[in-house]
Amino acid sequence: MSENISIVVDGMAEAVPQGLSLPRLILLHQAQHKDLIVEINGRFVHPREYERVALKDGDRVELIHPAFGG
Amino acid sequence: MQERLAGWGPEGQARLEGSTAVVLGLGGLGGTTAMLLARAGVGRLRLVDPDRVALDNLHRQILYGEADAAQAAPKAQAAARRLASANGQVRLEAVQAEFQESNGAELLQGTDVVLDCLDRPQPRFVLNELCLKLGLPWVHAGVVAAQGQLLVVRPGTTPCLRCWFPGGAEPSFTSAEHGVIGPAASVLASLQANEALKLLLGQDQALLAGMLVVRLWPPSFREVRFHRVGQEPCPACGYQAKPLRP
Repeated sequence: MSENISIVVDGMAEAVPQGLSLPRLILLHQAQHKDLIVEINGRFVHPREYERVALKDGDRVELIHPAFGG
Repeated sequence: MQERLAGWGPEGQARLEGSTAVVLGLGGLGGTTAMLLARAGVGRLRLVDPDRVALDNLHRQILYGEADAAQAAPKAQAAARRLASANGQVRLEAVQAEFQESNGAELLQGTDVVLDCLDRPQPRFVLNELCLKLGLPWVHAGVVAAQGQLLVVRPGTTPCLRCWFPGGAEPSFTSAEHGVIGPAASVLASLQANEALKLLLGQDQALLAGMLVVRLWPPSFREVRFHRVGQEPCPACGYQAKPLRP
């Protein structure tokens, strides 16, 4: 049985399986838009890097939907 | 009073008076941004919007009133009238037109800074390409519902809009569906005008470095730093990321 880690997504604490990939997290949050901005611990994550990111205990993740209205 | 701010002074004020800014879009963002720049004493303002004032604009578009809505007044002309009453020394150019690829270079001609207050993603990417080509600094702001983002783009120095949105954008989060509240538009517009003034004053060290993400419901302000070490250069600007601040 895999252990859970604790992360914070959009300000809310969340327990997720250890080794959860970023694309999987995006999917779980139904946030798979092409203009999504992902920030982990204050840094922008380029979409090309998503597959390489494994979430770690204590990570703070923001899934930002840009607003293009004026 | 504003001249007392460190880094502003009479020299800065004179610099503003000799400057030209173009405001693209005169809705919730552009109206407030234009008003702040006019009152600050920017010498020349070009005001660009194709639309006319409607009653359901008035909660967030502070330049206009019920009479403008009743007459369906063109926003560019109505904005110019209101700004002239706030500061009669500003030279105002009202342009009732939609910013697009075909007229973009003409609308940006002779300006020192561009205020992106547009209301859709696509023309913002046109603006990005054009400003890269012209080497023109611009300040992006966007707002929907109670949130938005702010970005300063200086070609050759900072990441461009395409760096942040390499896949482009889609209208997945729109004001047509989610609305816009007046305070969100005003907050984003104030921050946008603030960055434009820094650009015009040459206060580069005080500029926003990353992307500021503003949420008002509940409130939070967060600056996301760009990071793409080891990645291919941006296809639009060639920027290869490095930390903007050590």
